[in-house]
Amino acid sequence: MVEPKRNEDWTAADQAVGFEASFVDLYRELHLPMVRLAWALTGSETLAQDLVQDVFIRAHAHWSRVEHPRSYIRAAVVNACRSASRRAKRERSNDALFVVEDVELEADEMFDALSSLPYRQRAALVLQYYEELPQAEIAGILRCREGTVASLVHRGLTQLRRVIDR
Amino acid sequence: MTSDDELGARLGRSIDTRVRRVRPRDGLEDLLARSEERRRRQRRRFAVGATIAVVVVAVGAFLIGGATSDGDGDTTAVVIPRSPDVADIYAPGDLARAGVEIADAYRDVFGPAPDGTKAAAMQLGADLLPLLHRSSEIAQRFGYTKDQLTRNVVTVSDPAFIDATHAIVHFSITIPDHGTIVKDRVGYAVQHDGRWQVAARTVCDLVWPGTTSPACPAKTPA
Repeated sequence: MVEPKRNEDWTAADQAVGFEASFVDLYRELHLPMVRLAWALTGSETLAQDLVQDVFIRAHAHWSRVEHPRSYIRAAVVNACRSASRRAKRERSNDALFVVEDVELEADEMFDALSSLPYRQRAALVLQYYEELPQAEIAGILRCREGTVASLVHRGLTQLRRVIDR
Repeated sequence: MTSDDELGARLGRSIDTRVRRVRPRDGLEDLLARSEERRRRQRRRFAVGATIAVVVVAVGAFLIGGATSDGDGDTTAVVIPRSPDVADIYAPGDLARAGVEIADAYRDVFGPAPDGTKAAAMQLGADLLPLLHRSSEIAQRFGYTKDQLTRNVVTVSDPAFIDATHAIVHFSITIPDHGTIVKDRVGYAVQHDGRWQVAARTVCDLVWPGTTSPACPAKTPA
């Protein structure tokens, strides 16, 4: 298994002239980190696996037209997770936006505390502190301004403090 | 209280600790198989869509002329006399006049004419008029120009009378510099309140594949 690259390398590789990585190469490189990202965004490993697989299937259909495959895949995963969260919100009678499964006794409370956040706050926090993306790139993925990202991150952290202080 | 950066770093580590447990699932074969199936479905949908589009274009193309023009001087309606050896037991008394009126009705409906004239020239005209407009819009989306489609020529031939108020004709529609888009097609005419009209059935049969109207198909008379 190819060791996942960090985000800065992904963007640089996408922009490199003559980039010709095949779909299979990219799948092997990106699949695992994308499942991890989706897991962080949805709280469910099973759902994350399914969502990422669907993203790759859709991407495979028009792979030759994808200019920056790494960035494209990541944005597609974030969008797929947002759609899944919306579906979960509609389908659930409670207020949970987050699908938490396999909660273990030793599970870190910080991870589970994410479940209390609205999706955009959660995504902003995950992309900034787990994916370590610059806010400009997060703004592009979430389709908002950088100032909005900063606000989402600030409000998300404030909410997290409340949850873990309870 | 921890700073935002400290809390964020702690969150990042927490997420990393949890998601590192992910169980690798080699789904490449499954992915490629599902992707190929998806492509096959898309190709099937494209084939069906293309077939419908061709029908819609053909039908819409000749209807647009009538639905978008107020003039009536460019369209030619030609009546070709029916064979004299065909007996029409229930034919109307004035065959020549009836044939001309039917041809006029086809010209008004499928050629350029005001909406009121079109509605009066077809059975269930008020109900079917939106259908003509819709076909016109579709044809324009497929690239036919108003000028191109308002010069169509409607040819009506071989009227045969089922009875005193119902007739069968053959008709063709040709667009100059484009070709014959409807060739020798069977159409129907009905006489209502003393006036010959294009049967709703004929209009619906032509435009039904791409458009809908409350008058089609349930209210389409034979």
